[in-house]
Amino acid sequence: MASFRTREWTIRYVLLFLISVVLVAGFWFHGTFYELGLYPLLLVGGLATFLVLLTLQAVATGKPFRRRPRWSLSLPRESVGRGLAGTQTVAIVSLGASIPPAGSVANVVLETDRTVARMKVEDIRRCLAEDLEESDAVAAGFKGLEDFRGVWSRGHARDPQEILVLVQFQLEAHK
Amino acid sequence: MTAAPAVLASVIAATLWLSGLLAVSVRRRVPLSTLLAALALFSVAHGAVVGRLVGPSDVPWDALWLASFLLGHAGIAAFLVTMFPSGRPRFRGAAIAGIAVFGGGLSVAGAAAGWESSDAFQPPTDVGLYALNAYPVVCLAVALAESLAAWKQSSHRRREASLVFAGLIVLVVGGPVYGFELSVLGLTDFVGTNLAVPVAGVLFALALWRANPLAFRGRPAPSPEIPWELASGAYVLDEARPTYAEAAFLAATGSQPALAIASSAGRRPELAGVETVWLPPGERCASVLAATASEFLSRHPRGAVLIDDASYAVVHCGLATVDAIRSIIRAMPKGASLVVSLQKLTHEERQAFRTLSGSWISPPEFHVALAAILRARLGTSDLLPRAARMWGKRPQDLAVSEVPALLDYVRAVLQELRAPSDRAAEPGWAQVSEDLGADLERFWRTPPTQMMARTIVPAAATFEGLGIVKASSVSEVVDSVMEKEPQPPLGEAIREAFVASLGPAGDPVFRRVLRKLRKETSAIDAEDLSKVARLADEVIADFGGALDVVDAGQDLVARARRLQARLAGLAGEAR
Repeated sequence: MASFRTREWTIRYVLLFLISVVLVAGFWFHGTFYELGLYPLLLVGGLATFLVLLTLQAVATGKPFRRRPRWSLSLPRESVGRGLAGTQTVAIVSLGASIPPAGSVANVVLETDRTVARMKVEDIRRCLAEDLEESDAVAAGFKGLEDFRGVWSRGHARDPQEILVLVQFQLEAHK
Repeated sequence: MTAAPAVLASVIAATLWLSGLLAVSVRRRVPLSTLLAALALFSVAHGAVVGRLVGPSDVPWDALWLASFLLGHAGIAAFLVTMFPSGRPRFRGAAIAGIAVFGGGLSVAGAAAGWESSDAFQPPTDVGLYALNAYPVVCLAVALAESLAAWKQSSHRRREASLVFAGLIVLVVGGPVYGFELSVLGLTDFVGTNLAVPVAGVLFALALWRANPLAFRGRPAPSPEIPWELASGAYVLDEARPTYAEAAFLAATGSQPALAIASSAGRRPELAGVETVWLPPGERCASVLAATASEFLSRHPRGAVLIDDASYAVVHCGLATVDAIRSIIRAMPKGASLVVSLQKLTHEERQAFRTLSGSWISPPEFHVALAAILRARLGTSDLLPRAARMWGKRPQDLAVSEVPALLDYVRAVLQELRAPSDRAAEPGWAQVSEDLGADLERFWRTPPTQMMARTIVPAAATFEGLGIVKASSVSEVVDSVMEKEPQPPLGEAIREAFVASLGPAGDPVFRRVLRKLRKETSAIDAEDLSKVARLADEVIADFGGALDVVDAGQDLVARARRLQARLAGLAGEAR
């Protein structure tokens, strides 16, 4: 196990070193060829190095940069039944809620400011409240459609033609 | 022998492999064919350089290189022009043809003048060699300009434009820039080649794959039961549910190929038998929507496309969806049809769609309009949910094609109600049934483009001059009409039933019933109806006992039966 990790690290850093050598050689050659001054070389070379490092990072991790959970999805309790138990795959939120884009990884904040989970948003779609299906309500952690309606309309009347947003997600980590 | 032939051979192999991959996976035929042509021409140019290095000397390698090298760059320009189409199709075609013809002419002139691959991107010594260097640069400049214009104008295609722009920069670096540097370094074998072609090809391929149209076959939709036709063109339907959008789409298809582009929600039963594709979630959604619809309509110029749920693309791509649909409308052939449903959009989002150059239609909500017709003729719309329940639906899920079935159902129910009534009431039932049938038929046969409020409730003059209205407005107006013409209280309705059934004797009989009931007319409620019916029978029996004329007795029995039918009808309405 240890030798495997050592070998992986060695290959990774040798490759990084070789790429650095190629970059330096390229800067030296083009700097000489075009008789670039120090400042243009720093600017162009710095940009080239920056882009190469970003690309290497993406290739090494196998994840686009946006996959890091820089998004957060704040959910009231009525969005996911009575709590995020870990079995839900859908959150039902109001139209105005800020929702991370599909494909992104987001921290889930449940009522309080505390992050309770991390989720990958798989799909987002709209639905009229009266068109919500039993399976959606169950996937959101409710006992059924009636249970959802009871929780959702608690305290104030809801328009049956209200547009709801259904966020389909997959929990990646539950804290 | 240098390594140049081997390097070039590997570049050719990589280019051909990528071309094969593109050919089997990309569905946008025109941009794909231009890119494949460009990649093939670059490969031929590289092959000609290899041939010149290691092949027989009696083959005109330089002439072959020249034509393929120049036309390869023309192919890149053509790829960009077709990848991000803007302006008139005829102008685009003329521009591509002009570039290609100029490249062909230059190839002929260059071959005659003896230009060689080693002259490419070198300091020119005459006007001809200036042209040799300038032509590829101009082609790449056209392509760069197209990608930048697409980035600026089409918000839904920015990612693709960025990828293509990066690919073009790679081509510029690998062509004009390194062509010059390599010769200075003494690596003259590579002059006239572009080793970055596979890298640029990968970036172009990523752009094509990102907005790859969804797979479709292009089969006609089943014959629709829609009684109206729709001229070709773009229609934007502002409605809460896609009822009229789907009907308009089915009406527009005829026997032509049709495609419904749906969201991730389940298939709607109204579109059974219609070829349907589902949009992918995420930021590609609007690009794929535009690419799929445009590609379908370019392959089937008289076909029809339905965008069943524009809100799905709006959720994922925001108002870039409007740009995507605008690009579809711009590229639409004249005989094609596009129907867009704006269901589940907010007011602000719908306003953004107003900028589209299509026919904007705001039909009333279908089930609300049906209910209004039933209420106008029968005083109640209870039959609508009953009919829908019988078909396992909700009233709001009813489709335009189901109106004939609804009409049959309503007629059958009226027929059943007619049975307990008598001959005296028969003309009334027949008239109601006829009028209702005519209203429903007229409503069914009216296309949404001509939908006026009076089409829905013609009996109510109040609706005249309202123009096209939203469902909510119709509902409000119908409610207000009902408020202005209230039904009589139950007690009065019972008195009318007595008088209508028994004639002048009806009023005294009713008063005797009231005395036995020990209630005032205004105090009678629905629960009293059964007692009223029983007491009416008793009073009429007493009244009949006093008659000694046989015919008069028989007439009274008939009238009593008529009264019981009317009272039963009132009981039904009260429920």
